[in-house]
Amino acid sequence: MATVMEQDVLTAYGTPSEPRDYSREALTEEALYPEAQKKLTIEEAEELAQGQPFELIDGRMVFKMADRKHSRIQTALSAKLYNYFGQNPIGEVMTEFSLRLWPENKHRLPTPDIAVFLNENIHEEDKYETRAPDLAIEIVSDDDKASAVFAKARTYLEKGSQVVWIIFPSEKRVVIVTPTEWRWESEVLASPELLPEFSVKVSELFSSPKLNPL
Amino acid sequence: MATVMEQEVLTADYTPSPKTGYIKGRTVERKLRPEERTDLTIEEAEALAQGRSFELIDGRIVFKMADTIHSNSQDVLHGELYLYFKQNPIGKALPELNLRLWPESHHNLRTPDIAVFLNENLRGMEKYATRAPDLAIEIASDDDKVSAVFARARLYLEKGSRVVWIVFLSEKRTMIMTPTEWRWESVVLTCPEILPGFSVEVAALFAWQPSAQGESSVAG
Repeated sequence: MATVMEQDVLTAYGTPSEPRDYSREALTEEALYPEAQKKLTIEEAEELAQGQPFELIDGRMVFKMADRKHSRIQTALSAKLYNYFGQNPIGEVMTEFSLRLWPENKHRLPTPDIAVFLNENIHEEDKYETRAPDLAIEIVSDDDKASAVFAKARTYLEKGSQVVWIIFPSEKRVVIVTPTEWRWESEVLASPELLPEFSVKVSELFSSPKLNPL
Repeated sequence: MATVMEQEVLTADYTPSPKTGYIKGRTVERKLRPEERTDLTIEEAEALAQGRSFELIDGRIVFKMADTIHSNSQDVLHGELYLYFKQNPIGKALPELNLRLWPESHHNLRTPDIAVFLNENLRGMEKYATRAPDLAIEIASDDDKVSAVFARARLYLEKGSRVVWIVFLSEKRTMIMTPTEWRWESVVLTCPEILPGFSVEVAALFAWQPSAQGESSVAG
């Protein structure tokens, strides 16, 4: 017995001669779950998310889920940056900060794992951020597709980021992307032009904090 | 949601593991289809594949599928390498070559998009390739998972490859990996370690028509 979906495909190619069964067609996913098919706006997605971190990619909501490795790296790196900015008040570090990079597009809302803004790019009066962070940091999960990871980095650069760090926990390495250069770093993470005198050993990000107290 | 198949491939991490004969965590009552089995031998997989390009990962068959862009890059790169070896008969570039990297395992085969062997490493491999190529080339598709792509590259390096190239189609860049260094290349691909004098423009890998013929590029 052909499923509804198979039947539709067949109909599209004009093979079957029997009339379409409209009573069964009503049971398609689109009819049953209209919200799954709809392009969500930022407001709709926020209501659905109920506080969970998420991203909106062309109207499709993606919840951000962190495993132990991911969460540990995110915590360690943001703590180090937080400490740094405590001593050098030149900017601010934010985790899971949703960016409204396209004022005209209500269907896209990227959320970098860590965002660093320098003081001159922080506008307290705006509730939402419309610029890409000076330094955007993404931590890659094993399930991520290569094209999606790199596309996100490109988006941040196009929207004004000066540097993007893409951290690969599985490789214990980081790709440093700037408008002019892509390179791998496995020793020390630093960005002298953006964050003078800030540096963190890459290996520290991947080990338990018990072994490397902050 | 990851399907059982994706999960299996990921946890396998491209190293052979003992076989149970059944999909982990599942009671399987019906007879498994060949492509669901996790205990296929190389011979069974070859019979199943009927000439199609495939890999065997811990007894599970994975067919390699290429879209036009992937196939085009593979064609350009292989063509350039073929011409190079015609002028410099120091080795061979073999596309879709099945590598038997684990002599003790009948359940594992890997198939890089292009395997480049120098002549001295081709000896004794007239029938089957049992060593990792000197230069292994993989072309990453948009759907490939990052972890799987890098795991594959690490595998070739561990098994003796001196250089691995991973072509990232979506980024129009190639990653060059050696045991000591990982770097990105977006202009000209060279491989002085293995192929002295060889070079190909990265952009040529993504051009639909070879630029030498004066045709305009329509890719992208």
